[in-house]
Amino acid sequence: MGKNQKKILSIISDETLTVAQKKHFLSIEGENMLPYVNVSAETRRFYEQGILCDLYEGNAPYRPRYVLPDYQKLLENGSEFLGLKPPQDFFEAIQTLLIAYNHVPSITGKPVYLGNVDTLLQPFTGGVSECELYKQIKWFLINIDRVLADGFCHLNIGPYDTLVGRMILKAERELKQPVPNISLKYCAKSTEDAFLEEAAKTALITGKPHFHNHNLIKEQLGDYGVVSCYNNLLIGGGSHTLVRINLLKLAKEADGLEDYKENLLPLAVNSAAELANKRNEFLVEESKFFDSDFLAQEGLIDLDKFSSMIGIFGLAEVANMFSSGKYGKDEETNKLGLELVKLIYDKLTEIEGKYCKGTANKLTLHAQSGISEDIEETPGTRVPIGDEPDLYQHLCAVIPMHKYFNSGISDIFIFDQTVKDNPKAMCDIIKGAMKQGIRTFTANQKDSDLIRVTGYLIKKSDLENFNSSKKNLQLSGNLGAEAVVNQRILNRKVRKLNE
Amino acid sequence: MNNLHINKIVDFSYVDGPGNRLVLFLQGCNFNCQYCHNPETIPERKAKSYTVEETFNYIIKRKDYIAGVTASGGECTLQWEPLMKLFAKLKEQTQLTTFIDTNGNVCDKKMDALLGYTDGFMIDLKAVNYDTHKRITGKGNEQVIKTIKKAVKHNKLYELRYVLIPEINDSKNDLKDLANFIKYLNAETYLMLIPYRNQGVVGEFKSLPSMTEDQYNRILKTMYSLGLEKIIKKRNFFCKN
Repeated sequence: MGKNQKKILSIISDETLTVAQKKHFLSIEGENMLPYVNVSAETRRFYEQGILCDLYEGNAPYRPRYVLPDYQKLLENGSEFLGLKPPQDFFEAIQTLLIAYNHVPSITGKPVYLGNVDTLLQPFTGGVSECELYKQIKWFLINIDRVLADGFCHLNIGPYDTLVGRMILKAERELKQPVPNISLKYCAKSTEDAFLEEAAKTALITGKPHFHNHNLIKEQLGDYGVVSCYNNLLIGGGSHTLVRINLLKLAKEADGLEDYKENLLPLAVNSAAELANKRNEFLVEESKFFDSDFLAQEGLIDLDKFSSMIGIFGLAEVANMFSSGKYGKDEETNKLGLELVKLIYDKLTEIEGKYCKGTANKLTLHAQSGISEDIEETPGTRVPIGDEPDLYQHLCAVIPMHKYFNSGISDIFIFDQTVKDNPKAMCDIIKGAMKQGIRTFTANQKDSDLIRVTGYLIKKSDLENFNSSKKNLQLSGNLGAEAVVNQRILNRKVRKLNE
Repeated sequence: MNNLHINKIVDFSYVDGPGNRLVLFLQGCNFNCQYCHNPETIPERKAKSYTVEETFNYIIKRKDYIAGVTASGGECTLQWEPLMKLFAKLKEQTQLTTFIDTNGNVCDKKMDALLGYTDGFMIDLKAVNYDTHKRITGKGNEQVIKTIKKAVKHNKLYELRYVLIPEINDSKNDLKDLANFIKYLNAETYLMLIPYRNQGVVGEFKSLPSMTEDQYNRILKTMYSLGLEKIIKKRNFFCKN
């Protein structure tokens, strides 16, 4: 039996995978029978050494990594391909969305964007009793958790206070499900305090929603959605691919900081851009996704709103390596981190992004939150687990980075249990962070039954299943469990009262 | 005294008044409670001295994140003059709210001065019974009760705090006295019932057992039956010792 056949057999006979999960992995093997998109020798070297990585997207992209259909348009026009007329009431609107979700491609095979669901559904609530609305919303969420069953499916709410938004938050507190991932768009002017407090209460139980700086992101991007972990992309658009640079691995090749800054980083950014651009070209020109998929044909997505992301991770380790202080705690080390981010950002804006009209023909920078196999490197620009300083210091250290990451960044802030009786306190901190220019605020409460892995959530029981070789309904449950082990996620620092 | 003697500053606290608060733990105390958890704040020494200006500037840097400032201790009202100046400056130049966490043993003159610049008081009541109070703190409670009444009169008693110490101030009679006192106050206030824990205690009460969750829940039930359900704030954390 050849090497490839052995690999396929090992997937088929893996007792920890569901049939659907096996099909997902088998399809990747099929794709990878084609050669990798054609790149220069330098880029190939970076790729083979793991300095560049496409997160196992596959050799020959035939669908974008992330797709954000314009669900508003779907609800207004229906879909010819799906055989759906515009919905007339709440029940039909929910069914329309659930049907569409099953036909939205992405790298995970599941939709990473579920729409700004409160805004989408609120107009259909007329004439339906609150009791009935709540029941439908609750089962809508249960359906997403069990059928889509993927932690990267991401639902958005806000910035306005709506009944549907409140009910989603309430149902989440009740259900305590890892799926869907949820984001609240926060705007000081339009988000009422009471709505923010509802969201904070939910975050204290479930770790979601993430809180996003609506004005900042809207100003930089336009009409955006938050997808997958916490990626910010245009609605009606998406991201063809994500290529990430392992900043630490690259630094290990450097002959000192100057060499790193002046030679290696620009080289790696160039290569990452080349890799992304080649993948963009293949997707658009060879696979002809945008010519043939119903989403594009019916105007639910538009190639002109797409971009591609260049991710970085392991910044903390590099900053520590080239300074005497500790990233997160030492001002000089933080400054160095920020300087490196600026350098990468500037370099990236010099390069043309192919098929990236959605972000003015530039590739867009992302603080990549890591994958389960990262052991040495901290996600994105985060402070390493266990090194987190006081919350105030933590905020001061990371906020200056946030504006450079047009396609998303998140830091996880952990709260002790005393905040449970005082969610307003969390709101004060979120509002302050937004005012100071944070892009995304992710809160974790230590005693929650859900574990925030990188950007997505898993259940503690997913971890137990994984450890005892049992199947998980969500593939993200397996990925998360691996990450929990490799990245010491349960050791995130919690500050105790009076510490 | 123009400077503030500060034992510790906690930038973000979720248990010292409404919202997220910066807490100044001021040095020095005029009680000597047998279960004090911050005995290091009792003596005059061991503190850093900050001008009002310095303290103000420290707070300003964090102002976006907090609802306000709480002065605690020790007994912060011992430093009423610089504290009043600080609060006055905060009132003049920011939207931050000012709170005081006190043992209530503060004379009328100082209390009157502070009332003008303070949005809310959290006052500890160690016991309603005079003798029990004396046993716990070494002093009687007349002034404390006067202070509580004064805060109520100005509609500024945010929270009355009562540490439930097993066998000392948690008998049926103690609880009844407490309930009656609160009803008599007729104030819109919270009653924060804090379970005693002996961790970190150095005084005479060190040998007393920490209150268990069961004991605490029984007491809550009693207080509910005495008609205080609406105003009670629970502390949901217990020592695991």
